[in-house]
Parts: sequence; C-alpha cells; structure tokens
Amino acid sequence: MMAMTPTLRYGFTVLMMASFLFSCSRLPAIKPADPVAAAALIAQCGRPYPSVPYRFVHAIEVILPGGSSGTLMGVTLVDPRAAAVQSVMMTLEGFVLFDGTYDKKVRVDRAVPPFDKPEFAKNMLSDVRLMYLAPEGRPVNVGTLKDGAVICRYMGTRYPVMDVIVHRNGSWEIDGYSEGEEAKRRIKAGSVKNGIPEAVELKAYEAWGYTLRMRLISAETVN
Amino acid sequence: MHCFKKYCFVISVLLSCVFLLGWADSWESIRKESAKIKSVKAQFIQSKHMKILARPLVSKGRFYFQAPDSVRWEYVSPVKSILLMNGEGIRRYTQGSSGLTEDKSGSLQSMQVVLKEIGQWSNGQFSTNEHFTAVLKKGKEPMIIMTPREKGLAAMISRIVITLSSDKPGVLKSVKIFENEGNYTLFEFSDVQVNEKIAESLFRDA
Repeated sequence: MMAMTPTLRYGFTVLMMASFLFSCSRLPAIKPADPVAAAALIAQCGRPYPSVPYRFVHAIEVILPGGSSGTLMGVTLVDPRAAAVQSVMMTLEGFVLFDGTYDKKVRVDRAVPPFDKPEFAKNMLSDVRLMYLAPEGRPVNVGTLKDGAVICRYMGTRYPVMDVIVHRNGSWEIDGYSEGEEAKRRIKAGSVKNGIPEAVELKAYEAWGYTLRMRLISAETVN
Repeated sequence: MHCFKKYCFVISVLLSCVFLLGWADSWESIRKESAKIKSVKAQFIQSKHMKILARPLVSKGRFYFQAPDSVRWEYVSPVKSILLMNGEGIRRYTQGSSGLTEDKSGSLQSMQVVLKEIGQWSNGQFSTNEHFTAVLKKGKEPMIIMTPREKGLAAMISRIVITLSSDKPGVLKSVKIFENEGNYTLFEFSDVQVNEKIAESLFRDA
C-alpha cells in the first residue's frame, strides 16, 4: 500500500470528517400537531408543488466536487396530474445536452456525452421529481419544528424518509434521507413570489456530491 | 465534458460566420473578401426554439473579433457570460451566486480548437473544411448550407444554414443551427461594424 504523506493524511482526515458530518445529518425533531390542526398543516406542505402543469426556465449553476463550476440553462415541464416531468439542459449558446422525460418510466430523447449514462438520466429526473412533484400518499408525521416551520414527514416513497418543510417566511425545504437517516438530497427554495421561488438550491450528498443553484428566468402555466 | 469539443466546434462555426462578410457569388469571392476583414463588432439575438418551449428562449449579447485570433463573445441577458480568447488562451466568466466568476472546470481548454477553426473559416475555406460539407446557394438572399461529414457530429447537428443580407452586401444576416426536428438555435446579427478599432482590453478583461 502506498504510504501517505502528512498532507495526504490531513486531506483524507478532513474528507472523512466532512463525509461523517454529512452522513450524521439527522432527521429534525417534530413537535406533532393534533389531528384537527394536521389537515391544515398537510395542506401547507403542498405549497412547494405546482397543482397545474407548469413550465419553468432556470439558469443553473452546477458546482462539482473540488469547486469547479459551470452554468447551464434548464427548461422543466411539470405535469402534476400525470406525475410526469420533462427536463432539458442546454448550454448558454442553446446547445441541448440532455432532454429526458419521466412519465411512469425514464425516457431519454437526447443525451450528449457525458450526459448519456443511464444513471445520469435516472438521477437527474429523480431530482426534478423531488423538486416539483408532491410525494405519494399521506405523511406519517405532521407538526412543527423548533422555529415554528411546518413539517410533513413521508416514508417509503421516493426516498425512505422525505421531509417537506415550509417556513414562516414562505420559503421551503425538501429533504431526502436514506434508510439510515443520512441526508441524501436537500432542496432549499427562497425568494418566493406568487408561490414561485426565484432561487432554488439542490445539494446532493453522495460520494461525488454536487450542488445546483437555480435562478428563475420564467415560470408559466401550461394549457 | 466530452461533448464540449464538438460543441466548441459549433461555436467556432458560429463565430467564424460573422467573418463571412464577402458578397457570396462564389467560394473564390468569399475567400477574397474574407481576407480583408481585420476586425468585427456586432450585436446578436439568440433565439432557442424547442418543442418544450411555447415561445423561443431569447438571449442577447455582443460579439467582437480582432484578427488573427482574438474574440469576445458576451451575453448580457438573461445570464451574463463572457468568453475571451486571445493569444494567451481562453477564459470564460459567468454571473453566478458569487458574482462574475471564472469557469475553472478546465473544459475550456478544448476551446483552443476554435482558434484553429476560426483561422480556416475566416479565410473563407468552407469547401475544404474537414468537418462539414458546404453548399453555396446563390439568390436574393445567398445562403450557405453546411452538413456534417461525420456520423458522430451529425447526431448532434443536422445542418447549419447561414444567410447573408440581401440589401447590405457583405453583411451577415443570421445563422441557424439545427440539432434535430423542431430544435434549432437562430442567431441574428445587427449593427455589424467591420474594420473599426477595438480596444485590446476588451479581449483581456471581463
């Protein structure tokens, strides 16, 4: 085995500590709501999700491990009634890198290397669904957090555990956890105007985690 | 990004098209007129057309070229982004969450390819290009239609149509890049100024 230099050892330790901290991101404690209040809170938890078909255009800043970054344009079509999404990613010059749809199954219409791996399409569309499509079924736990934010906890849907948190200022958060309650995805939506967030950040806590910072260009309903 | 090299090539085609300012009677006249171009500056409007969009996605920007190989390709909306190419290499700056920051992904190195391509195309050498076949269509609005030679490139770009202005001989009107059915990008140029002095700092500073 190759001997580690002190710098390498230090870097490795920091990396391990960082991944440990992320993996220890525990579920927040819920102050349960009484059954009467729960219905109103569940309705609030639906706030992040469009109730009619929508088209969104975003400028997306992609930040990869190591800090390298690039900016793309993203167009997303959301149909909540069919639980379907279509996502297109293109360069600023309009060159389409990825065009994929989830409608009961993943379909890729265009994918340019390195976006042509099946895993990429699956994960990408999973992130889009997490962002825009309400979780199936009823939450197993509903209540508030310490700071008064409303929280609905779902289990066994797209992530083993999924929290939808709506803050008092109108912003919201959607968190996906593994079975071991490790944070896998964290979506934060802010600057909400007319129910549409102007800024969204998605963090993926994987071995090769990434961050997407999305700035809204346009949002419109689709007939 | 593996796709970036080919994508860069497309951009190089686009950029070099702005140099195509000779009145297009023949390849020879294009070559002759192109050789006279020392600098170009222009405004552009980019319209992305796709089935997923109800109306085109519009971006606006400015373009500068100084012979032999300096380029500034700048978007002003909806996302501010500046691509700089000069003798020292290539850099890109994009407005992000922490302001105007340099793209550190390293993928831009492949944009060096652009310089070589620009050299070839700016000399009007369309008919001898190794990546595209080019057909010159004479008429009221002369057009050059370019079709990829390689299968790999054809999977990404089906054709490129360059239209020259009918009322302003020597001025480019538009470039249309077709990716697939219903998916194309139209670049329309305006206020094209040729052989005017451009500050050297424009190719150096974002």
